Amino acid sequence: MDFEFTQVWHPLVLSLKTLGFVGVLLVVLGIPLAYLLSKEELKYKWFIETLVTLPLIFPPIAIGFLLLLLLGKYGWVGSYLNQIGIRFIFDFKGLVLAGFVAALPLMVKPLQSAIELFPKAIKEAAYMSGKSPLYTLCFIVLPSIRKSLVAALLIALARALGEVGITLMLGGNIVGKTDTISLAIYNAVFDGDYPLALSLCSILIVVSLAVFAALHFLERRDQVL
Amino acid sequence: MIEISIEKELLGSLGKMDLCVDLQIEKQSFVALSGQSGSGKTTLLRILAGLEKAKGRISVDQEVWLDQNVYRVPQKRGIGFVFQDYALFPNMSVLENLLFVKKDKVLAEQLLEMTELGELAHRKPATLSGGQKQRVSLCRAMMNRPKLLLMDEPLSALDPSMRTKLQHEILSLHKAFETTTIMVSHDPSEMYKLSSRVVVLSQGKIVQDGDAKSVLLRTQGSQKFSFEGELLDIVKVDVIYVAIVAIGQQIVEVVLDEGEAQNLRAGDTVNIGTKAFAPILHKK
Repeated sequence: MDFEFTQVWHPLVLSLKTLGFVGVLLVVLGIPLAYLLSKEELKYKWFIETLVTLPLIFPPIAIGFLLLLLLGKYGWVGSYLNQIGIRFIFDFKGLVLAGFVAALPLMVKPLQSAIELFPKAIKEAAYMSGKSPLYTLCFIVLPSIRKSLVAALLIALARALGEVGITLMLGGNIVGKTDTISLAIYNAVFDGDYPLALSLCSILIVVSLAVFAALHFLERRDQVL
Repeated sequence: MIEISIEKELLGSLGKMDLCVDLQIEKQSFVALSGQSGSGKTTLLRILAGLEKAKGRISVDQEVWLDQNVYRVPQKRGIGFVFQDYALFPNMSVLENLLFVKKDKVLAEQLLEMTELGELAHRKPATLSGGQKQRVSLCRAMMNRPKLLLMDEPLSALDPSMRTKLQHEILSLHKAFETTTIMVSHDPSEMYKLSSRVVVLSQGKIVQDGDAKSVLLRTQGSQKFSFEGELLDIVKVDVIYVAIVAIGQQIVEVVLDEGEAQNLRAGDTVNIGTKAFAPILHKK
């Protein structure tokens, strides 16, 4: 093999680091968003729902371009953020944002329906025990649907790991800086370096198998409990 | 004393109707709430629990739960509620279900002991039978020593023997804690055994209100006994007619003459009674 170890190692670490941040964002923002959308009487529900689901339907490369317009140095939002020193374009933050936007619908939609399907009477029983809706969500609803929660999170993270279109637009595919593992495969194939592409692919296969194993393990453990 | 005077527009089985209830309930009494489906029983319970809003006034021991300016949230009403389908917290063991309401281990163990659930304290709800689940639900409802215990057809999903067992447990809990209780039920024997007062709702209005015996006994005048049943069929046999009537889980035949048969149709609700003979009671 005639490629350097860092050519594999660097994209892998970058991808894992991105996934770590995306995972935290999915938990911190995705769960409250799913809860919010599960409320029937929410105002502008259709609008928020469309916004969250958009990356699932709209081509990633187009989403990336729109985000680039929005967050670029002279973009509508980007110009303000740039003034206070926050930059998304060609930066690690851009990779996290790209992964997060792509993964969000896969996290929010299944979780939203799991929360919606959770029996109303059980929530009401908790309210009548003196517990607030937030307390009920944290200690009754989410623990009861933990299997759906973890499955949604794993699938969303798998989507973020494979993200190319938005990442390409926001991150710029700068080798050694913003080339995540999926982009590194593209670059290696583009350069005709098939052995490198194959090595990177094998890593993705191992990671995917680990996700499957984790899902399977969770299911088994749930049956034992 | 619980004073209820509420109004709410509902979509009942026959289109729009007004739930309009005025009730005073003595402290520590056990009231059975009966009536056809869609008559507003469950809605009344939910309004009392604060799960649904309504116009009017509800006050419990001088505390106002609802009036023009006040709406007390369910969390602040101190209510115990037993649902027909148990509504146990699936992620918690039996004991944790009880302790979730109030961290009072002594009371929890006392309740579990009274309902013979001590052995099951660490089991998850999914591993329990229907009767066991409903006992847990009952214990859970008693955990915050409620001012008012509301039960929405708590025993209707259970088989007859389990029902009888739970009726005894409900009665012993009621005696021990003296909680004012309102229970929705369709079962006359259950209402008779448990309640001191029966209120019947129809189309959102109270149509009968009195002690269990006066409301539930169906005999009129000198009738020895009387049962309500559904007429299933009328068969002509030679010159007489035989009506086939379902009473509860049983089917009986009654002989009719032509005049009687002409006024009846299959599907009618009928009363079967007799005046002449004393009924005979056999132990089975």
